[in-house]
Amino acid sequence: MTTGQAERAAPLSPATGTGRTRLAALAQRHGAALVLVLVVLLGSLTFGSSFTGAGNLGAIALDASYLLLVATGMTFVILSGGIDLSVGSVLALSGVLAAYGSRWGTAGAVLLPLAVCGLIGLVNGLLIGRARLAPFVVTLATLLFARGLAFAVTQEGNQVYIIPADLALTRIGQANVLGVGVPVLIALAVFVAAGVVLNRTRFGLRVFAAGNGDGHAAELMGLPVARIRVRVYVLSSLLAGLAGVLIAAQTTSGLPTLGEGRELEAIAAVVIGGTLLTGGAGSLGGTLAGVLLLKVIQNLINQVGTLSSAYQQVVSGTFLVLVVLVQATLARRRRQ
Amino acid sequence: MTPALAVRGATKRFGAVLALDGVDLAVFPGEVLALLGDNGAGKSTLIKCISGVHRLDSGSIEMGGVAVTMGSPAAARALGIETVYQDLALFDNLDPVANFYAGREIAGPRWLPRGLRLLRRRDMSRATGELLTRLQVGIADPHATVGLMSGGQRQAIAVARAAAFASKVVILDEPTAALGLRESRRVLDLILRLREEGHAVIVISHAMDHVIEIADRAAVLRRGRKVGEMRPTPDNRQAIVSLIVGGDS
Repeated sequence: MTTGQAERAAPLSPATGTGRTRLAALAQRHGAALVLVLVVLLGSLTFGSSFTGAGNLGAIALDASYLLLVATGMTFVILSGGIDLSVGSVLALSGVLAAYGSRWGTAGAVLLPLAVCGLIGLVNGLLIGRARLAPFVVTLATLLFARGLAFAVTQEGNQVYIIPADLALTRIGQANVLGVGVPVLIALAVFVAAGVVLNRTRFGLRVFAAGNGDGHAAELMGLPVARIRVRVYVLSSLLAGLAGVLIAAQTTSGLPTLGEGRELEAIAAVVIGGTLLTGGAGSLGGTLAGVLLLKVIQNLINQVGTLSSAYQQVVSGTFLVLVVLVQATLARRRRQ
Repeated sequence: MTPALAVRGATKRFGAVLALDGVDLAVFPGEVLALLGDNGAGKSTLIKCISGVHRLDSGSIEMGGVAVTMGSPAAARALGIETVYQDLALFDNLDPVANFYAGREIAGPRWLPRGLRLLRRRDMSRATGELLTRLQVGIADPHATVGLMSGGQRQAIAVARAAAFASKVVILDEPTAALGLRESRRVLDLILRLREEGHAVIVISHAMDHVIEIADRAAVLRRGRKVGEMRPTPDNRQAIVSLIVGGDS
């Protein structure tokens, strides 16, 4: 019953019941991890070292680390009962601002984008938490706003800012430690820290509490619901911003078209990981499994070679539908 | 004796509707006060004003003789008032321990800034277990989320949560409305235990038998006004009922 702290459904103890409900809860919580293991086994048997080679696994890890950052923030937002559609655009804006800010050194390339992203998250949070506007609409607006700003800063994409190769940031973005890319290590460190925050701190518990129903109970119990919401949106924007900075560091430039559809990919990873889109139940461990599963499937379809990469999304979409179907069935069964 | 809680001239208006019209109410430590009235009489509005959900348009609230303002549910809780709402306001997605402590978590160590302190789950778990034992509330599976529990268990958890943290006043809105016979019995016993422990208890109920059994005093509201107070006994049951529905009928 005591699993890793990141994989717990509820912060104080996982939902358990008897027999079938317990099984259903297990499937919900660890389903993505189980399928991930199966897919990895299948991939290793089919493609051998072209899949399991260090180069390929490193590429998957690097690709997954950016999505993991975004999806970690998204997990907090969804658990609190919200949604953040702006993260893909925020990631692009962050990359552009990192490249723009690199003229003031690494500090400028990191602080400028994170400050702007934090501000966007603050606006999201205040409009949703204090003004009580719908998260979908508010973050749709900031999605447009941030993407537009990214294009404006780059003169409609015509002006490409380059991060100098000798900048500390570039070296960090491209460095490897023991064969693992530094962005991967940063993403993992952030993920572990987020796990501690979600499962072991007051704030984490309150995120779950605010995600119950529409936050009505949390308000009656005197929880600072608005403040909790503000914080999850700031966190989400900052993590998307961090992903943008790391991508810019790795590619030495920032493109305003970066991260299109990333918000949906992140939401898909969170939901595949067993977190309920209605909020209040889920885990970061599931999100990690969801992120890896999406990225491994993408990689395997690329390995096939004869399949167009468009099939990645066909498979991911099919998978998402299956997960939601299973979740709905389990939820119905548990209520009986 | 100073009342634990006293409301004077409570008036609350929602648009054109006068929900409360100069209501006076007092409840003493170790007393169960039943708040009676037909639907729309203003009972729920009154307790929501006391528990900080609504604000009074005019009138005052005193606790232990000192005037207080209930700016928010958190403010009322901080003053020692706990409320069991009709919908219970439980976190269905969390277990009983988290339901007890959400909003006043035990965390440490103290030298860390508040935001960085880690939850002391074992302490919270133990305190919850002790409280449930003291109140004789049996929970079949203390690690299950409360959304999966029976109506009686959920009600018991909500009442126990209020009992755990209320230092002065416990308010219960229709605590037995959705319960079966045996479950009602448990909740009534729980209310009596709160009285023994010296809490001032306000109960809204339509179940006259329960009121007669547990309440020391009954206050009747009709159309936002307090129309009478009485000792609820089997003998004046009829008198109370006619106060509720209107004297002349």
